[in-house]
Amino acid sequence: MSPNENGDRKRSAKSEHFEPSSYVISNITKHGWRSAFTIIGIAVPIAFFILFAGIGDGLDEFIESESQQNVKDQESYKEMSKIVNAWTDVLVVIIAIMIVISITNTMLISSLGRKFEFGVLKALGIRQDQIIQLILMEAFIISAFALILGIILGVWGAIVFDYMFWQQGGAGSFFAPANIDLYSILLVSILTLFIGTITAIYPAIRVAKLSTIEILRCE
Amino acid sequence: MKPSNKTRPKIELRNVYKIYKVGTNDVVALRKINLMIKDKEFIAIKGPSGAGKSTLLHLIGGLDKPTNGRVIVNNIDLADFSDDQLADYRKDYVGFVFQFFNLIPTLTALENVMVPRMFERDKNPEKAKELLALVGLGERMAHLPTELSGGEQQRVAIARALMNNPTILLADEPTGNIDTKTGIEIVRLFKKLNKSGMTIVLVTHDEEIARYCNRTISLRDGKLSTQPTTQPTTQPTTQPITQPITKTSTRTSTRTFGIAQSSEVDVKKRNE
Repeated sequence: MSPNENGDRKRSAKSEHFEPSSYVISNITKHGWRSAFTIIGIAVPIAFFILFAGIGDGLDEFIESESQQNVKDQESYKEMSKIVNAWTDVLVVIIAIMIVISITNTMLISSLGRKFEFGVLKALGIRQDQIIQLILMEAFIISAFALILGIILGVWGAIVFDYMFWQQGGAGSFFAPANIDLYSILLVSILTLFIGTITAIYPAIRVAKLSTIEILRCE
Repeated sequence: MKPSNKTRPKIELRNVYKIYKVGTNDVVALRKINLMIKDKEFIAIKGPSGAGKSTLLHLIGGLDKPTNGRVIVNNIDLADFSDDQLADYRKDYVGFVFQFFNLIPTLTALENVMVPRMFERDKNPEKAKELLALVGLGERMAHLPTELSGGEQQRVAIARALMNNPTILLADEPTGNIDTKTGIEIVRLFKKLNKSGMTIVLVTHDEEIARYCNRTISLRDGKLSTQPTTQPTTQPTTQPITQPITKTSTRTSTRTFGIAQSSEVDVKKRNE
């Protein structure tokens, strides 16, 4: 059996269980490069979220341990801790907004770029709510892949940061150690999967509501 | 209002107007169209570009609604349907075949045929395989559209259109983007489907293709210019219509496929 025939048989066997998820996964995998850039585009803010949350947490912990050693300046340490926490929170919120915008933008471009395909599906009798379902499923799967990559990059970034600026610099280093904060990982997971899927509703509805006839006539 | 069961179609257009807004201008695509398409009829719609042929087809297929007038299928006015009901109507009653095939490029031939049923519980992969075999592509099921010739892609599109056992097949210049020989094979396949009981509306520029139809109507500037009588055609080629469809026009194959058996089953199913 030639490699081609073997490949054909595998493809044919896969095709027999053709579910909406098969349609979505096939679209993600067969547009390999586009999907990879999309996933990286979402994963980078996730990685920064985890890294900055870790840096903030590490800095806070460092200030607290310093304050325990230096009892006289308790008030100034508390003040410093408050400022650090406030800035970290602002940074984390900005990155969270970036994640939401990134997913919405990605899904909008991806969906509108394939509006002709969705127009054909509608002509074949696929309902609007089913088109929305396909786009949301795609957003969820892309978000899940981006989340895994983002967590790996974020944790790796925190370890590198810790090694380069803390362990190498020693106690006199300007930087505090970056903690790998499980709470921030949990938070970014919920944020990415839930908000990521929810924010895809807008592009999904926009594409599903497009007039089939206008889409088909444009091509 | 949704039809309760699959009955034979009778398509009727009464005083249909379709006007598009282009900027501030109104463009009349169809004007005062009165047309009745009988059950099991094979009808060709001819006319120059921009005459309104595709618009007429889209109105019958429930892809668009008339600005004025009524499009009635099985005594039910499509204007009464919501978007979801129109989607169900297209899924259950109508098969579309487009000029540029419109296959999903990331899916194999078999997956493309199964697309209309992907949200259904019964995916019926056997039926999809049977249809691909019927159109002569039994051995090319795992191929992507880019790996198929134009004629083969159109055959996949026809198999996809037949996946939900439609009672009406609407074809918008299905031979316009393929060579003449393959085009004739495609229209022969339509003729067989028509003989099995399917109502077919075919938009074409090609006089030879139109000669396979029972009736031809012409559109010009959105108006029906002629309304010839129903007249079964004489076959323009020497090859009999009963000859099975071979795999492709250019390739030779030992496997041939006939339609009669599965079509009879379909007709029986519909009658039930």
